[in-house]
Amino acid sequence: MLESIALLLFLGLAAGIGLGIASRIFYVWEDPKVLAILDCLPGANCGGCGQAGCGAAAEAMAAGRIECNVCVVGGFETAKAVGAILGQEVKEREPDFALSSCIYGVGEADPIFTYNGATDCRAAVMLYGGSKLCTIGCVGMGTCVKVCPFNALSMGEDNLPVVNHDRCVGCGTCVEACPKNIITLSSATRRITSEYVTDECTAPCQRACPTGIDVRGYIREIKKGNYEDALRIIKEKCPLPLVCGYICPAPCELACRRNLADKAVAIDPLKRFVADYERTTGKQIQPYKTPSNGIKIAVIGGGTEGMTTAYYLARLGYEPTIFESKPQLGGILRHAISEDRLPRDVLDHDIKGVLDMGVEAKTGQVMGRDFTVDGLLKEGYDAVVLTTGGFDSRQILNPAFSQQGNVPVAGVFTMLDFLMALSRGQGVSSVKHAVMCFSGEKTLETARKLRGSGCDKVTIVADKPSAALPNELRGIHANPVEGIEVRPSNSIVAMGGISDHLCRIMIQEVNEKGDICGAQEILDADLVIIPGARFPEWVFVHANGKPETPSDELKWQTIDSFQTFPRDARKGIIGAPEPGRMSDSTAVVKAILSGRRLARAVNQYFSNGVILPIEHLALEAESIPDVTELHHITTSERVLPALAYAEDKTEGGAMQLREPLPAIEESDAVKEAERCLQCGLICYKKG
Amino acid sequence: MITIDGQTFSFEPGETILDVASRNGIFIPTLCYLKGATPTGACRICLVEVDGARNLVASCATPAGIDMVVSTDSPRVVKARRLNLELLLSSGYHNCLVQDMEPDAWTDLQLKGLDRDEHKDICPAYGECRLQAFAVKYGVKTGRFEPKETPYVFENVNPFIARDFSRCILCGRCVQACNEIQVNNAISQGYRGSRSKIVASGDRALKDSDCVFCGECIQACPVGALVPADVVFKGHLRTDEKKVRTTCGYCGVGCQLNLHIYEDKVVRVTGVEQSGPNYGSLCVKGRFGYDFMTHPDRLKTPRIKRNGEFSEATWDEALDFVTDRLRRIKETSGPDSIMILSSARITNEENYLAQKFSRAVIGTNNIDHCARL
Repeated sequence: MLESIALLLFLGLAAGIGLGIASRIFYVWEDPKVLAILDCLPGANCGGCGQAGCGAAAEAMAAGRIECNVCVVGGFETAKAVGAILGQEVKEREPDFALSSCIYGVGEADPIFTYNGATDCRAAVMLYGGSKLCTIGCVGMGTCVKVCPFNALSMGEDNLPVVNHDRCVGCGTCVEACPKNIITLSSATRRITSEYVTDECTAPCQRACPTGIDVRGYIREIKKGNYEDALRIIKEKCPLPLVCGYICPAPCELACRRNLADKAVAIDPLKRFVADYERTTGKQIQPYKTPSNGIKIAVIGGGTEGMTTAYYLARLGYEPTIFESKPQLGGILRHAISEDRLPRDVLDHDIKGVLDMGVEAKTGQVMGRDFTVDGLLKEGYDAVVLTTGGFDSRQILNPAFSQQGNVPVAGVFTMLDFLMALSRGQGVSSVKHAVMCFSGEKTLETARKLRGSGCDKVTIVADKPSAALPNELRGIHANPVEGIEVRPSNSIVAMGGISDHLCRIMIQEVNEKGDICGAQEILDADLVIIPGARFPEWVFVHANGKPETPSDELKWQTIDSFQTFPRDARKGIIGAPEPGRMSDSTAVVKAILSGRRLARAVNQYFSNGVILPIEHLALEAESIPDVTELHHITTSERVLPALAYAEDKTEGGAMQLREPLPAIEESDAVKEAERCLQCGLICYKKG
Repeated sequence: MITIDGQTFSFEPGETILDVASRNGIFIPTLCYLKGATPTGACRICLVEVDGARNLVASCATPAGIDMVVSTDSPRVVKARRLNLELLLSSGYHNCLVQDMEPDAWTDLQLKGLDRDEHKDICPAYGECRLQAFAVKYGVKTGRFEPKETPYVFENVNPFIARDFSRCILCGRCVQACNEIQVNNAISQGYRGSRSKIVASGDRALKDSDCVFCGECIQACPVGALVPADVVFKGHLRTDEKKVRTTCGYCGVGCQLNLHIYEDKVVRVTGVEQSGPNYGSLCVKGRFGYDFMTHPDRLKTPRIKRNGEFSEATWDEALDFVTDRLRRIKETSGPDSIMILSSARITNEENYLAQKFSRAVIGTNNIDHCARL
């Protein structure tokens, strides 16, 4: 008895000593902060932060490898608690949530076979990519539902995933699991900066709309009577819905699939209906705005493009200020489009919507007279965006072509301005190296004039091969003349300068299609002459990434704002027409697209440092699955008239374009919305 | 009955598709169509699709037919209109915001314009041009066709009307307005093909022709080809003008006109097309005779001739002076030594008062007025 007790005591003691020694030898020091952080984290181990689990995330946060606001489950509260432990200031993070894009389930979409295998999407797509004819459609096995750690997903009646937005935290587990990329994460930034790509379910109207409004989405909401939601969907992509409702050329209606059967849905009048609803009810509806980041941007030009850029920058958390030369914002909308077609109270309503988004506007400010680009950068703006509009904006501004005292963009002249300055006898002084973009017949003549006025060297840069240039330029390319050099197949891709001087530019070789792909070269240049009479959409930033201290000299450079285009359509930073050129004054919707892309470029520059092109753009893709005939649909007459600038009915001539447009009845609007086929890529509503 | 865009309408024999559509509030864009004149079908902007017809038809010139099914904005129609607008925009010097060409081609176009005085400024019709309006409305993309040179030079030798042939789209509205509305028969279509031109009296300047400068053609011109001579270089946008509707003071007809005001000055006068008696037409005086309003020589106070020189006086002084003199003349020489001449520019009521004054106060039948237009 005693023996056995003693033995057990001994064993216990030995084990205790052994463990004690082992714990000393194998001791691992653990940061109390990690434990404290781990206590704050929700413990879902979802991986939404990009780490292996909450433990790994806590370590990474403590080590400073990731921001303390990355936990998508816990949100801002958790981030604040973690921040308190780490003694960091926490920035609010915009919420993300999952969004399913497929709208026709397996039951409704056209099948190619019946699938009876394992009920898992990942297994189902291994057989010819799923049972649907549509190559990008949901296969409906609910794998996303099974993997969701928060029970935020469920399968709806039509075998499509339904997201419960109260539960969804945006961890992205479902996005990883879905083999068809149907579920994507959605946040305001993602929605603003995204464009329709080829492997996305888009309706023909959406693809035809330059701004990319989710047409079927807003018509669906109108049908349900949710006019506010409908307007929110429109304002996601279009800051001027009422203006568009009045004067948009409505390319969407030409693309409408109903044209194959009867007449297009009255898409544009429906937009006007919901926008009018906002105006008449006085409820201002604004889409989500991300938390502020305190970056100040100057937007020069208060036309459609400038207002759009500022609007999206404000939504992305920036602090934009518009500088407009006229006493009121509006640009072409106010000064070129007659009041009969666009009543000014309509315009003012939309402008108010833009300003209320957090955009500041300074009117009566003329570029070159009241401010210059380098001056604004010195004043503390982090970037200056030029949206100065078409050639006629300058003529509207200076009918008599009066020369302003300062050059608005250091060292840059437009060809017309420069020739006019020369003709007035205002030569260029102390220019060493001038760079001219090829600007038509008078290029060489101007180059010679430059030489004559004391310029050491003139380089003519053309984005065309030498064979496409005029004879005399080709001759100079073959047999160089002293002081004039021709560089065919090259394009200017960047400019940089110090204070109010231009210092250097970068050129890059282009291939025969005009795509930039070759070697880069940096040239010292103090004068650049660009074709036309308009400044392209340039974005100027501080060269060292942040504002200089007052004692330092300002160093500035341009960013590659045109990079937002697919690579195979780039032509450097000197505006070329579509698809290389951003702005387009031929339609308000095109200017809105340019404005949004500019905001995307600025945002990418400030958040990632690099601007990535948009690949597989659906708007410019040539072949996208589509249908050529409609089956099993009921034809119906269009309820709303084509946007009728109804001519004067009673008396007078056909000369006057008449306003006001007839108000649209709610019942008519809903009836018309019901005509929408709610098209997918190849699906549409039948019956 | 005729079906237009799915709606069925009744019509009178002789009505065109455009008549029926605009009577019922369906919009068909037009450039050359001029109400009240024979349709020419020149611009091909009012094209519509008629079921069963091989080609698109011009709605302004096609009579409505029984059981006709018309579509005014089908994709085919819009495509055709776009092409027509594109061709019109390339037919001459349209340095407009809607132009969308390669920067170097664009520079060439602008430099060509700058070589000539009349094109240094922005187009005078900017903001009011129907071609511009439709190009924006239909989202026309240009740049496919090279802009065509116009062989005719700018004509600004006339007193009131400047003619810019490089902006003329040859729609013929001015010809219709001159020959069918005003019936002055001063201008007509001349030459052929690419040398077409609107000519006056065998291609002479307007001032050497039968033109009476009523300006009906200016009002009819949908683009910036015909403009009042003095506004060509005024350098402000028409959209910045304020319009004030008033009645013409030149005679008793009572024409309705719009005064276009910019910076508190009348810069242009147009007729009000929607209402009578003139329905947009004006005479040379009503349309161009507005300079006197701000003329420095204009009298602003009464003047009395004292010691052989006019000196400014107050209204009381002047009226006392006139009453006094009239009374004395009547007393010394009798009432028939006075004659009253009233004006056609004042109202009926005022003319009535004038004759009452003449007969009852002065006591003479010597009363007449100047209505001898």
